[in-house]
Amino acid sequence: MKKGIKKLLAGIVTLTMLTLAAVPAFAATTTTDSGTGSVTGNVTINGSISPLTISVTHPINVAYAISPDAGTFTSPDIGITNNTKTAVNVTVQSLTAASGGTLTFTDVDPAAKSWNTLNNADSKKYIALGVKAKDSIGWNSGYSTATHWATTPSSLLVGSLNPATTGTLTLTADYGLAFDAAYTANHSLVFLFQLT
Amino acid sequence: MHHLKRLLFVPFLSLALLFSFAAPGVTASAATALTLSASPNASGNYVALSWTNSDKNQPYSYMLYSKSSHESTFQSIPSKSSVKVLNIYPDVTSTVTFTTWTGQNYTLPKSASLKMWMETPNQYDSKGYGKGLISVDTVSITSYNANPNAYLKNSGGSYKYDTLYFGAWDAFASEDLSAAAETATDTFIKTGRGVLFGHDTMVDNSGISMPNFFKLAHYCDIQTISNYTVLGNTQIKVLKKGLLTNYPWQIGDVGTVLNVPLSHSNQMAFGDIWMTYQQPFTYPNSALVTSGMGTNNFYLTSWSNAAMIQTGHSNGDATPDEQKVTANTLFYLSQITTDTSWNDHKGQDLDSPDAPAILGVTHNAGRTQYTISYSSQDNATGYQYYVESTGENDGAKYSSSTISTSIESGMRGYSVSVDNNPSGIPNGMVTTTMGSYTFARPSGSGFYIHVEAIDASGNISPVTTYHVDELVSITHPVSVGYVIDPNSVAPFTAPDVQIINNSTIPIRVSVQNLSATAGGSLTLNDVPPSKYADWSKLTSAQTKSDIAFGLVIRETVTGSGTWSEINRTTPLYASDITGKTPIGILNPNGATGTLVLTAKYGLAWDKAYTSVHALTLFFDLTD
Repeated sequence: MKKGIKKLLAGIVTLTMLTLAAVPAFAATTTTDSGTGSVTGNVTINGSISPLTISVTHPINVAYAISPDAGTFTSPDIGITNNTKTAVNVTVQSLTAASGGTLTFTDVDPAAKSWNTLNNADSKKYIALGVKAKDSIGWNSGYSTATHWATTPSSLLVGSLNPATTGTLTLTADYGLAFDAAYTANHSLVFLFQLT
Repeated sequence: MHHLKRLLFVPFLSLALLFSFAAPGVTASAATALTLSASPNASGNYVALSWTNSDKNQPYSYMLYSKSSHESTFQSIPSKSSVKVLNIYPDVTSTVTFTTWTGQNYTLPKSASLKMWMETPNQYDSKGYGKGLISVDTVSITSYNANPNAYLKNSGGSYKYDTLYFGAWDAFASEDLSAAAETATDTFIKTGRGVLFGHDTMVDNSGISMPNFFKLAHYCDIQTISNYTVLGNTQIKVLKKGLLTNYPWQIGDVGTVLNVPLSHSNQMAFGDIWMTYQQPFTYPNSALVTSGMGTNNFYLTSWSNAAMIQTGHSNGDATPDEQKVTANTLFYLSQITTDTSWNDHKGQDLDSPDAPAILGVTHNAGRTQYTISYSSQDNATGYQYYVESTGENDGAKYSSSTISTSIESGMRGYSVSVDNNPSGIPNGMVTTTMGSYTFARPSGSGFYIHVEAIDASGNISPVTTYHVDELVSITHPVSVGYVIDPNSVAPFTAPDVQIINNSTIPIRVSVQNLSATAGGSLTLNDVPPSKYADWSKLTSAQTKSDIAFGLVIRETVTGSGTWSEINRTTPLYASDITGKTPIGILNPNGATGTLVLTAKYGLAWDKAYTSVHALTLFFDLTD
């Protein structure tokens, strides 16, 4: 099963480029101040400041696997690398089941089901999928060790990454075992990357 | 043996004595031992001359010759302390009546007014314009023409007068010298005695012809103009300075304008011209004629012991100025003496001091009072002299060796004026005897100080003018724009702030204020650059809050076209400025200095912003 991940950055980059093009040019108009003994001269200094471009590298998609016979849930790490000149905050904005697979799960809280006793119908219907920081590596101090479950209504600020630093997220899930065939299911994971 | 020796010696001695007395010519040649000495008297502004003549066999008269360092040829000079003048006047009917300072009453033809001028008390001197030093006898031209020597000489045959004066009447009443009078006058002049010719005497042209008078014109170095050509005015101007202009009357320096009755010239003068007619010439149909070194623009000219003055055109009228000039001229022409000493008042310090050198100009803290310091050096005038003796019995003439001396009267003081005129000239009066002068600053952005040095003889140096220019004029940008592009390798870019000093004086440049101000989408806070160890790690909030904004002089070396002094080589940040902070001094006359904006800033800009800083520069004088 594969899950798709979206990002917001592309739109921000486009906006930045437009703003740069609008920076005004200041003409070097001069004036001459004259007086006896002393004069003052005033110069206005106008600053035009462009926004910083946020650049983050992350996988476009990752795939997880549920093996009911082995009773295992496996998925690759989700590495996020900050290419920006400054630190950025990494926030999980949403994680939601999406269509496109042979099944479309309904996201539920992990405590909402007795996952080992789910029947075939419920196994194919419910899943509790979450994402969290895998470990402290790369993350600045104060990062969150909490899991953002798909059912969590608010976003989760995972932590901040310094420039040229990679932090790792991992998926976790509670699920039923009574699958009667092979299935695929999609989730959509949305990150928000912001300047600290 | 002793007796023999005495006998032999006596004849030799006798022979020597006989030889000496038997050869007067040899004794006369000893008159070449006519020895002249000169001692300058600075306080009196004259040269004391004395001479000795080894020939005691006959009486001698003497004539002094002098040449100043400004003259190319020797001229005879006055040598009399009192002057006897014979006024030979034309015959006219109108008369003048007057009482001399000695109390004697006279009625004379108005053409013989010289005695009245010289000997009648006036507002300037109780003994007349002759100051009791000039006595005048009178004789008509008719009588003089008939028997000139009867008036020129006493019964013993010696001359009675130092100087003759022919005048004064318009056209000299059309009375020329007789041939005998011309001859007698010529002889008189040749003795070195003086003669002053009045108006229309030395003229021989199509309008007025005085051929016998004109035979004597060469003594004055005067030539005719064949056609009647006049030039005149009621004002004359001093052209030459010397004894004639300041003894016994101070007539005035070169350029002084004097008032006289209307008169005119009618001939060309090639000698010393003491006074010219002031232009524009008001005499009808005046025409200026020049020829080589000669000109018809003269009121008074002289050469050695002869002179011509234009007094007389107005038929006996004379202004005080004219009477003073006449008295001085009569003294000037009296050049024969039997004395053996003379204080040569012609031997004056005629050279002005050097133009003052300005040593410095200072002012008080408020620039309300200025002090100028200066110095000058007086200059001496050099003279060469020799004396010529004439034997009264045999007419033999001998001359002394030429000697040299110089006279320097010393500094009297300085004439100082302050105005707004670059061509201003002080009034020539001594403002101070000190080497500095303090005055209140006049209004305006600048002013001129004019200084003349004046020596004890009244010679005034060329004026030295010092321009105090306090006009500060600076060209600079009205505004400059900087850019922070955090995505760039060099995020901060800003154009140079060029400052051009248009003033003629060095100008100190200070930063009075540099601070963030409202007007942009963001108002930053000016913080020290040390606030953050690594500005690249600022958060977005810190980035949008703080900036360390400053400026620094781009030039690192001084030069004539830029800074003469650089006070700061490191950036001056806004947070450093607590008051007017000097950064350098710009040279004058278009020197350009460059300020570079610099900043320390964060990179975490989340969107585009504008921000404004106000920079106030202060430009003032350096001293």
